[in-house]
Amino acid sequence: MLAVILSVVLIMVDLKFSQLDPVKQSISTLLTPFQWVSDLPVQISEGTIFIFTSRDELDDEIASMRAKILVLESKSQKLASVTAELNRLRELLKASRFLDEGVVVTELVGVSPDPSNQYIVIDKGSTNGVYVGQAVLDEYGLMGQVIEVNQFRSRVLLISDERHAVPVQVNRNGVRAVAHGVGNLSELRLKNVPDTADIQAGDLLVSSGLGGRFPSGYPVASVVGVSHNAGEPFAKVRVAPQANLNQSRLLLLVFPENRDPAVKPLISEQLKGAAETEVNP
Amino acid sequence: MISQASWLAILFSFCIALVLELIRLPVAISEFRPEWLVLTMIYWTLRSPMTMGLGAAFLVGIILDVMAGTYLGINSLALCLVCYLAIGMHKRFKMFPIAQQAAVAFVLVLVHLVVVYTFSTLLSRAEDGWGIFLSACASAFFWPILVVLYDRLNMGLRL
Repeated sequence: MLAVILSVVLIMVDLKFSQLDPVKQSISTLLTPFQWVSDLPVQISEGTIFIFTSRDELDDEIASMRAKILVLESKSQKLASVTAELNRLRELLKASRFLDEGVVVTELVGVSPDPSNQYIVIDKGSTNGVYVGQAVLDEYGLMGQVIEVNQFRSRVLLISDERHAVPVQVNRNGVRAVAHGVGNLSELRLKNVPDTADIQAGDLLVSSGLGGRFPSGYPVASVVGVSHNAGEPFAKVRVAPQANLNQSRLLLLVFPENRDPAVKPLISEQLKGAAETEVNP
Repeated sequence: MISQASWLAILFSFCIALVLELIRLPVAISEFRPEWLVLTMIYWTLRSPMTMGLGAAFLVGIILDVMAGTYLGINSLALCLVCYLAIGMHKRFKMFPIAQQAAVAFVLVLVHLVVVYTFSTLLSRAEDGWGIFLSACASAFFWPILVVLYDRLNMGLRL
Protein backbone atom coordinates (compact mmCIF):
# COMPACT_ATOMS: atom_id res chain seq x y z
CA MET A 1 0.00 0.00 0.00
CA LEU A 2 2.77 2.37 1.00
CA ALA A 3 4.68 1.50 -2.17
CA VAL A 4 1.60 2.16 -4.30
CA ILE A 5 1.04 5.57 -2.71
CA LEU A 6 4.73 6.39 -3.11
CA SER A 7 4.57 5.42 -6.79
CA VAL A 8 1.55 7.60 -7.43
CA VAL A 9 3.22 10.53 -5.68
CA LEU A 10 6.35 9.95 -7.79
CA ILE A 11 4.30 9.95 -10.99
CA MET A 12 2.64 13.21 -10.01
CA VAL A 13 5.91 14.88 -9.05
CA ASP A 14 7.62 13.74 -12.23
CA LEU A 15 4.68 14.86 -14.34
CA LYS A 16 4.59 18.40 -12.98
CA PHE A 17 8.09 19.26 -11.79
CA SER A 18 11.62 18.67 -13.00
CA GLN A 19 13.24 18.09 -9.59
CA LEU A 20 13.59 14.36 -10.27
CA ASP A 21 15.68 14.84 -13.41
CA PRO A 22 19.07 14.58 -11.66
CA VAL A 23 17.90 11.33 -10.00
CA LYS A 24 16.92 9.92 -13.38
CA GLN A 25 20.20 11.07 -14.86
CA SER A 26 22.30 9.42 -12.19
CA ILE A 27 20.37 6.15 -12.43
CA SER A 28 20.77 6.11 -16.19
CA THR A 29 24.49 6.80 -15.81
CA LEU A 30 24.63 3.77 -13.50
CA LEU A 31 22.91 1.70 -16.18
CA THR A 32 25.51 2.63 -18.80
CA PRO A 33 27.68 -0.51 -18.28
CA PHE A 34 24.64 -2.74 -18.84
CA GLN A 35 23.94 -0.93 -22.07
CA TRP A 36 27.54 -1.47 -23.10
CA VAL A 37 27.34 -5.20 -22.36
CA SER A 38 24.02 -5.58 -24.17
CA ASP A 39 25.55 -3.95 -27.22
CA LEU A 40 28.49 -6.40 -27.22
CA PRO A 41 26.84 -9.14 -29.34
CA VAL A 42 26.26 -6.67 -32.16
CA GLN A 43 29.80 -5.31 -31.87
CA ILE A 44 31.29 -8.81 -31.83
CA SER A 45 29.26 -9.99 -34.83
CA GLU A 46 30.31 -6.91 -36.77
CA GLY A 47 33.91 -7.52 -35.71
CA THR A 48 33.88 -11.14 -36.88
CA ILE A 49 32.29 -10.15 -40.18
CA PHE A 50 35.11 -7.67 -40.59
CA ILE A 51 37.76 -10.28 -39.80
CA PHE A 52 36.37 -12.73 -42.32
CA THR A 53 36.00 -10.25 -45.15
CA SER A 54 38.35 -11.08 -47.96
CA ARG A 55 41.09 -8.72 -49.13
CA ASP A 56 39.44 -8.25 -52.51
CA GLU A 57 36.18 -7.14 -50.98
CA LEU A 58 38.00 -4.65 -48.77
CA ASP A 59 39.92 -3.35 -51.78
CA ASP A 60 36.65 -2.93 -53.65
CA GLU A 61 35.13 -1.13 -50.70
CA ILE A 62 38.10 1.23 -50.42
CA ALA A 63 37.97 1.94 -54.15
CA SER A 64 34.27 2.76 -54.10
CA MET A 65 34.75 4.94 -51.01
CA ARG A 66 37.57 6.84 -52.73
CA ALA A 67 35.33 7.43 -55.72
CA LYS A 68 32.58 8.64 -53.42
CA ILE A 69 34.97 11.00 -51.59
CA LEU A 70 36.08 12.45 -54.94
CA VAL A 71 32.49 13.16 -55.97
CA LEU A 72 31.62 14.63 -52.58
CA GLU A 73 34.72 16.82 -52.53
CA SER A 74 33.98 18.28 -55.92
CA LYS A 75 30.46 18.98 -54.70
CA SER A 76 31.71 20.60 -51.49
CA GLN A 77 34.08 22.86 -53.48
CA LYS A 78 31.06 24.18 -55.26
CA LEU A 79 29.23 24.42 -51.94
CA ALA A 80 31.81 26.82 -50.47
CA SER A 81 31.41 29.30 -53.33
CA VAL A 82 27.63 28.90 -53.31
CA THR A 83 27.49 29.55 -49.55
CA ALA A 84 29.60 32.69 -49.97
CA GLU A 85 27.33 33.90 -52.73
CA LEU A 86 24.25 33.11 -50.65
CA ASN A 87 25.63 35.16 -47.77
CA ARG A 88 26.37 38.10 -50.09
CA LEU A 89 22.83 37.97 -51.43
CA ARG A 90 21.43 37.72 -47.93
CA GLU A 91 23.46 40.75 -46.91
CA LEU A 92 21.93 42.65 -49.84
CA LEU A 93 18.51 41.63 -48.53
CA LYS A 94 19.55 42.63 -45.00
CA ALA A 95 18.68 39.13 -43.81
CA SER A 96 20.57 37.25 -41.13
CA ARG A 97 23.64 35.35 -42.28
CA PHE A 98 23.49 31.72 -43.22
CA LEU A 99 25.15 29.96 -40.33
CA ASP A 100 27.63 27.19 -40.77
CA GLU A 101 27.16 24.20 -38.51
CA GLY A 102 29.75 21.83 -37.18
CA VAL A 103 29.02 18.15 -36.75
CA VAL A 104 30.40 15.48 -34.45
CA VAL A 105 30.19 11.81 -35.35
CA THR A 106 28.50 9.61 -32.78
CA GLU A 107 27.57 5.97 -32.64
CA LEU A 108 24.24 4.36 -31.89
CA VAL A 109 24.55 2.08 -28.84
CA GLY A 110 20.97 1.22 -28.00
CA VAL A 111 17.43 1.33 -29.25
CA SER A 112 14.15 1.53 -27.41
CA PRO A 113 12.99 -1.84 -26.09
CA ASP A 114 9.43 -0.61 -26.50
CA PRO A 115 8.33 -0.34 -30.16
CA SER A 116 5.67 2.25 -29.36
CA ASN A 117 8.21 4.55 -27.76
CA GLN A 118 10.71 5.39 -30.45
CA TYR A 119 14.08 6.58 -29.27
CA ILE A 120 17.68 5.57 -29.67
CA VAL A 121 20.68 5.91 -27.38
CA ILE A 122 23.95 7.41 -28.63
CA ASP A 123 27.43 7.19 -27.15
CA LYS A 124 28.00 10.90 -26.50
CA GLY A 125 26.83 12.64 -23.34
CA SER A 126 27.18 15.85 -21.38
CA THR A 127 30.97 15.35 -21.18
CA ASN A 128 31.02 15.77 -24.97
CA GLY A 129 28.87 18.90 -24.85
CA VAL A 130 25.63 17.32 -25.97
CA TYR A 131 22.58 19.30 -24.87
CA VAL A 132 18.84 18.69 -24.79
CA GLY A 133 17.18 19.77 -28.02
CA GLN A 134 20.20 19.12 -30.22
CA ALA A 135 19.48 17.82 -33.73
CA VAL A 136 20.81 14.41 -34.81
CA LEU A 137 21.35 13.44 -38.46
CA ASP A 138 22.46 10.44 -40.41
CA GLU A 139 24.03 10.66 -43.86
CA TYR A 140 20.64 10.93 -45.57
CA GLY A 141 18.68 13.30 -43.37
CA LEU A 142 17.31 14.31 -40.00
CA MET A 143 16.97 11.52 -37.42
CA GLY A 144 15.60 13.27 -34.35
CA GLN A 145 16.50 15.38 -31.35
CA VAL A 146 18.21 14.79 -28.02
CA ILE A 147 15.69 14.60 -25.18
CA GLU A 148 17.78 13.36 -22.27
CA VAL A 149 21.48 13.63 -21.50
CA ASN A 150 23.52 11.76 -18.94
CA GLN A 151 27.25 11.82 -18.50
CA PHE A 152 28.20 9.39 -21.27
CA ARG A 153 25.00 8.66 -23.17
CA SER A 154 22.07 10.58 -24.57
CA ARG A 155 18.61 9.58 -25.58
CA VAL A 156 17.42 10.75 -29.00
CA LEU A 157 13.73 10.95 -29.83
CA LEU A 158 13.19 9.87 -33.44
CA ILE A 159 11.15 12.02 -35.82
CA SER A 160 8.80 9.05 -36.30
CA ASP A 161 7.67 9.01 -32.66
CA GLU A 162 4.06 9.97 -32.11
CA ARG A 163 5.05 12.83 -29.83
CA HIS A 164 7.42 14.38 -32.34
CA ALA A 165 6.88 17.05 -34.98
CA VAL A 166 9.33 18.91 -37.24
CA PRO A 167 8.67 22.18 -39.05
CA VAL A 168 9.53 21.56 -42.71
CA GLN A 169 9.27 23.24 -46.07
CA VAL A 170 9.08 21.91 -49.60
CA ASN A 171 12.49 22.29 -51.21
CA ARG A 172 10.98 23.10 -54.62
CA ASN A 173 8.85 26.11 -53.66
CA GLY A 174 9.14 26.78 -49.92
CA VAL A 175 5.63 25.73 -48.89
CA ARG A 176 5.69 25.32 -45.12
CA ALA A 177 4.22 22.40 -43.16
CA VAL A 178 4.75 20.39 -40.01
CA ALA A 179 5.76 16.73 -40.25
CA HIS A 180 4.32 14.62 -37.44
CA GLY A 181 5.49 11.16 -36.50
CA VAL A 182 2.87 8.43 -36.48
CA GLY A 183 4.75 5.74 -34.57
CA ASN A 184 5.92 4.01 -37.73
CA LEU A 185 9.62 4.09 -38.65
CA SER A 186 8.92 4.40 -42.38
CA GLU A 187 6.18 7.00 -42.38
CA LEU A 188 5.46 10.57 -41.29
CA ARG A 189 2.41 12.68 -41.94
CA LEU A 190 1.88 16.33 -42.80
CA LYS A 191 -1.07 17.69 -40.90
CA ASN A 192 -3.35 20.63 -41.72
CA VAL A 193 -2.17 21.03 -45.30
CA PRO A 194 -4.77 22.97 -47.32
CA ASP A 195 -6.14 21.22 -50.40
CA THR A 196 -4.70 23.93 -52.61
CA ALA A 197 -1.11 23.72 -51.32
CA ASP A 198 1.42 22.96 -54.02
CA ILE A 199 2.80 19.66 -52.75
CA GLN A 200 3.35 16.75 -55.11
CA ALA A 201 4.51 13.19 -54.77
CA GLY A 202 8.30 13.11 -55.00
CA ASP A 203 8.86 16.51 -53.39
CA LEU A 204 11.74 16.77 -50.95
CA LEU A 205 10.94 18.28 -47.56
CA VAL A 206 13.77 20.05 -45.75
CA SER A 207 13.79 21.39 -42.21
CA SER A 208 12.70 25.01 -42.24
CA GLY A 209 14.43 26.07 -39.03
CA LEU A 210 11.27 27.74 -37.80
CA GLY A 211 10.80 27.32 -34.08
CA GLY A 212 14.55 27.52 -33.62
CA ARG A 213 15.03 23.93 -32.54
CA PHE A 214 16.28 22.34 -35.74
CA PRO A 215 18.90 23.82 -38.07
CA SER A 216 17.41 24.77 -41.42
CA GLY A 217 18.05 23.10 -44.73
CA TYR A 218 18.55 19.45 -43.79
CA PRO A 219 16.47 16.90 -45.71
CA VAL A 220 13.74 15.41 -43.54
CA ALA A 221 11.41 13.41 -45.78
CA SER A 222 10.13 12.92 -49.28
CA VAL A 223 6.46 13.00 -50.26
CA VAL A 224 5.04 9.57 -51.08
CA GLY A 225 1.50 10.49 -51.92
CA VAL A 226 -1.08 13.26 -51.67
CA SER A 227 -4.75 12.38 -51.53
CA HIS A 228 -7.49 14.97 -51.78
CA ASN A 229 -10.80 14.05 -50.25
CA ALA A 230 -13.73 16.36 -50.95
CA GLY A 231 -15.28 15.60 -47.57
CA GLU A 232 -12.25 16.61 -45.53
CA PRO A 233 -10.93 20.11 -44.89
CA PHE A 234 -7.28 19.18 -45.42
CA ALA A 235 -5.31 17.11 -47.89
CA LYS A 236 -3.79 13.89 -46.63
CA VAL A 237 -0.06 13.90 -47.30
CA ARG A 238 1.99 10.80 -46.59
CA VAL A 239 5.75 11.24 -46.48
CA ALA A 240 8.66 8.87 -45.93
CA PRO A 241 11.61 9.95 -43.78
CA GLN A 242 14.88 10.42 -45.69
CA ALA A 243 17.03 9.13 -42.84
CA ASN A 244 17.45 5.39 -42.40
CA LEU A 245 15.75 5.41 -39.01
CA ASN A 246 16.18 1.70 -38.35
CA GLN A 247 19.52 1.06 -40.03
CA SER A 248 21.99 3.87 -39.54
CA ARG A 249 24.63 3.19 -36.95
CA LEU A 250 26.94 6.18 -37.37
CA LEU A 251 25.12 9.43 -36.71
CA LEU A 252 26.00 13.12 -36.69
CA LEU A 253 25.33 15.56 -33.86
CA VAL A 254 24.86 19.11 -35.12
CA PHE A 255 26.64 21.88 -33.23
CA PRO A 256 25.52 25.31 -34.42
CA GLU A 257 28.52 27.69 -34.49
CA ASN A 258 26.77 30.20 -32.34
CA ARG A 259 23.94 28.66 -30.41
CA ASP A 260 22.21 31.96 -29.76
CA PRO A 261 23.35 34.26 -32.57
CA ALA A 262 20.96 37.13 -31.86
CA VAL A 263 21.59 37.50 -28.15
CA LYS A 264 25.22 36.86 -27.32
CA PRO A 265 27.11 39.47 -29.39
CA LEU A 266 24.73 42.19 -28.27
CA ILE A 267 25.33 41.45 -24.62
CA SER A 268 29.10 41.40 -25.00
CA GLU A 269 29.05 44.76 -26.84
CA GLN A 270 26.87 46.27 -24.13
CA LEU A 271 29.30 45.05 -21.51
CA LYS A 272 32.22 46.49 -23.47
CA GLY A 273 30.43 49.81 -23.77
CA ALA A 274 29.66 49.83 -20.07
CA ALA A 275 33.28 49.11 -19.23
CA GLU A 276 34.52 51.92 -21.48
CA THR A 277 32.15 54.47 -20.03
CA GLU A 278 33.37 53.55 -16.60
CA VAL A 279 36.99 54.10 -17.54
CA ASN A 280 36.69 57.21 -19.70
CA PRO A 281 35.22 59.87 -17.42
CA MET B 1 11.45 -24.58 -5.68
CA ILE B 2 13.51 -24.23 -2.53
CA SER B 3 12.73 -21.29 -0.37
CA GLN B 4 16.19 -19.91 0.38
CA ALA B 5 17.65 -17.47 -2.05
CA SER B 6 21.21 -16.25 -2.12
CA TRP B 7 21.83 -12.55 -2.57
CA LEU B 8 24.56 -13.31 -5.04
CA ALA B 9 22.15 -15.27 -7.24
CA ILE B 10 19.56 -12.50 -7.00
CA LEU B 11 22.07 -9.84 -8.01
CA PHE B 12 23.44 -11.95 -10.82
CA SER B 13 20.00 -12.80 -12.19
CA PHE B 14 19.01 -9.14 -12.23
CA CYS B 15 22.21 -8.25 -14.08
CA ILE B 16 21.39 -10.89 -16.72
CA ALA B 17 17.81 -9.63 -16.97
CA LEU B 18 18.98 -6.01 -17.37
CA VAL B 19 21.31 -6.93 -20.22
CA LEU B 20 18.61 -9.02 -21.91
CA GLU B 21 16.14 -6.20 -21.49
CA LEU B 22 18.45 -3.75 -23.23
CA ILE B 23 19.68 -6.02 -26.00
CA ARG B 24 18.85 -4.96 -29.53
CA LEU B 25 16.34 -7.07 -31.44
CA PRO B 26 15.52 -6.89 -35.14
CA VAL B 27 12.47 -4.72 -35.82
CA ALA B 28 10.43 -7.73 -36.98
CA ILE B 29 10.52 -9.48 -33.60
CA SER B 30 10.83 -6.47 -31.30
CA GLU B 31 7.15 -6.82 -30.34
CA PHE B 32 7.90 -10.27 -28.93
CA ARG B 33 10.41 -9.03 -26.38
CA PRO B 34 9.77 -10.81 -23.06
CA GLU B 35 9.68 -8.64 -19.96
CA TRP B 36 12.84 -10.08 -18.46
CA LEU B 37 13.04 -7.84 -15.40
CA VAL B 38 9.37 -8.38 -14.53
CA LEU B 39 9.79 -12.16 -14.91
CA THR B 40 12.90 -12.10 -12.72
CA MET B 41 11.12 -10.09 -10.08
CA ILE B 42 8.13 -12.48 -10.14
CA TYR B 43 10.47 -15.46 -9.85
CA TRP B 44 12.24 -14.15 -6.77
CA THR B 45 9.03 -12.98 -5.12
CA LEU B 46 7.48 -16.42 -5.58
CA ARG B 47 10.59 -18.19 -4.37
CA SER B 48 11.28 -16.15 -1.27
CA PRO B 49 8.85 -13.32 -0.57
CA MET B 50 10.77 -12.58 2.63
CA THR B 51 13.94 -11.43 0.84
CA MET B 52 12.41 -9.90 -2.29
CA GLY B 53 9.21 -8.12 -1.39
CA LEU B 54 7.42 -4.94 -2.33
CA GLY B 55 10.38 -2.69 -1.54
CA ALA B 56 12.56 -4.51 -4.03
CA ALA B 57 9.74 -4.42 -6.58
CA PHE B 58 9.56 -0.67 -6.14
CA LEU B 59 13.29 -0.23 -6.79
CA VAL B 60 13.28 -2.52 -9.83
CA GLY B 61 10.28 -0.58 -11.13
CA ILE B 62 12.20 2.69 -10.84
CA ILE B 63 15.05 1.20 -12.87
CA LEU B 64 12.53 0.05 -15.49
CA ASP B 65 11.08 3.56 -15.61
CA VAL B 66 14.47 5.14 -16.18
CA MET B 67 15.27 2.60 -18.88
CA ALA B 68 12.01 3.11 -20.72
CA GLY B 69 12.10 6.87 -20.33
CA THR B 70 8.57 7.01 -18.93
CA TYR B 71 7.42 9.04 -15.97
CA LEU B 72 9.12 7.83 -12.82
CA GLY B 73 6.77 5.59 -10.84
CA ILE B 74 4.59 3.99 -13.50
CA ASN B 75 6.52 0.76 -13.72
CA SER B 76 7.15 0.66 -9.99
CA LEU B 77 3.44 0.98 -9.31
CA ALA B 78 2.67 -1.85 -11.74
CA LEU B 79 5.45 -4.05 -10.40
CA CYS B 80 4.29 -3.52 -6.80
CA LEU B 81 0.79 -4.66 -7.76
CA VAL B 82 2.17 -7.72 -9.53
CA CYS B 83 4.37 -8.59 -6.54
CA TYR B 84 1.43 -8.20 -4.20
CA LEU B 85 -0.52 -10.72 -6.29
CA ALA B 86 2.50 -13.01 -6.45
CA ILE B 87 3.05 -12.95 -2.68
CA GLY B 88 -0.57 -13.91 -2.18
CA MET B 89 -0.18 -17.06 -4.22
CA HIS B 90 3.41 -18.10 -3.58
CA LYS B 91 2.52 -21.17 -1.48
CA ARG B 92 0.08 -22.57 -4.04
CA PHE B 93 2.39 -21.67 -6.90
CA LYS B 94 5.04 -24.15 -5.78
CA MET B 95 2.60 -27.04 -6.35
CA PHE B 96 1.65 -26.02 -9.90
CA PRO B 97 2.99 -27.99 -12.87
CA ILE B 98 5.28 -25.96 -15.10
CA ALA B 99 2.66 -25.26 -17.79
CA GLN B 100 0.31 -23.82 -15.21
CA GLN B 101 3.15 -21.77 -13.78
CA ALA B 102 3.75 -20.32 -17.23
CA ALA B 103 0.05 -19.47 -17.51
CA VAL B 104 0.18 -17.65 -14.17
CA ALA B 105 3.33 -15.83 -15.29
CA PHE B 106 1.45 -14.79 -18.43
CA VAL B 107 -1.35 -13.29 -16.35
CA LEU B 108 1.05 -11.51 -14.00
CA VAL B 109 3.09 -10.01 -16.83
CA LEU B 110 -0.13 -8.99 -18.55
CA VAL B 111 -1.30 -7.24 -15.37
CA HIS B 112 1.99 -5.36 -15.26
CA LEU B 113 1.78 -4.33 -18.91
CA VAL B 114 -1.87 -3.32 -18.69
CA VAL B 115 -1.18 -1.05 -15.71
CA VAL B 116 1.84 0.51 -17.45
CA TYR B 117 -0.15 0.91 -20.67
CA THR B 118 -3.10 2.49 -18.87
CA PHE B 119 -0.96 5.02 -17.06
CA SER B 120 1.25 5.97 -19.98
CA THR B 121 -1.82 6.42 -22.18
CA LEU B 122 -3.52 8.51 -19.50
CA LEU B 123 -0.49 10.72 -19.01
CA SER B 124 1.05 11.20 -22.41
CA ARG B 125 0.14 9.40 -25.59
CA ALA B 126 -2.35 7.08 -27.21
CA GLU B 127 -0.77 4.02 -28.72
CA ASP B 128 -1.66 0.70 -30.20
CA GLY B 129 -1.93 -1.64 -27.24
CA TRP B 130 -2.08 -5.09 -28.82
CA GLY B 131 1.68 -5.48 -28.60
CA ILE B 132 1.41 -6.16 -24.87
CA PHE B 133 -0.29 -9.51 -25.55
CA LEU B 134 2.60 -10.58 -27.76
CA SER B 135 5.07 -9.50 -25.12
CA ALA B 136 3.15 -11.36 -22.39
CA CYS B 137 2.99 -14.51 -24.56
CA ALA B 138 6.74 -14.37 -25.15
CA SER B 139 7.27 -13.93 -21.40
CA ALA B 140 5.17 -17.02 -20.64
CA PHE B 141 7.09 -18.97 -23.26
CA PHE B 142 10.43 -18.12 -21.64
CA TRP B 143 9.22 -18.70 -18.07
CA PRO B 144 10.15 -22.44 -17.86
CA ILE B 145 13.61 -21.76 -19.29
CA LEU B 146 14.09 -18.93 -16.84
CA VAL B 147 12.98 -21.05 -13.87
CA VAL B 148 15.46 -23.82 -14.73
CA LEU B 149 18.26 -21.28 -15.26
CA TYR B 150 17.63 -19.38 -12.04
CA ASP B 151 17.17 -22.59 -10.00
CA ARG B 152 20.57 -23.74 -11.18
CA LEU B 153 22.04 -20.32 -10.49
CA ASN B 154 20.64 -20.33 -6.99
CA MET B 155 21.91 -23.83 -6.25
CA GLY B 156 25.33 -22.95 -7.59
CA LEU B 157 25.72 -19.68 -5.75
CA ARG B 158 24.18 -20.63 -2.40
CA LEU B 159 26.67 -19.96 0.34
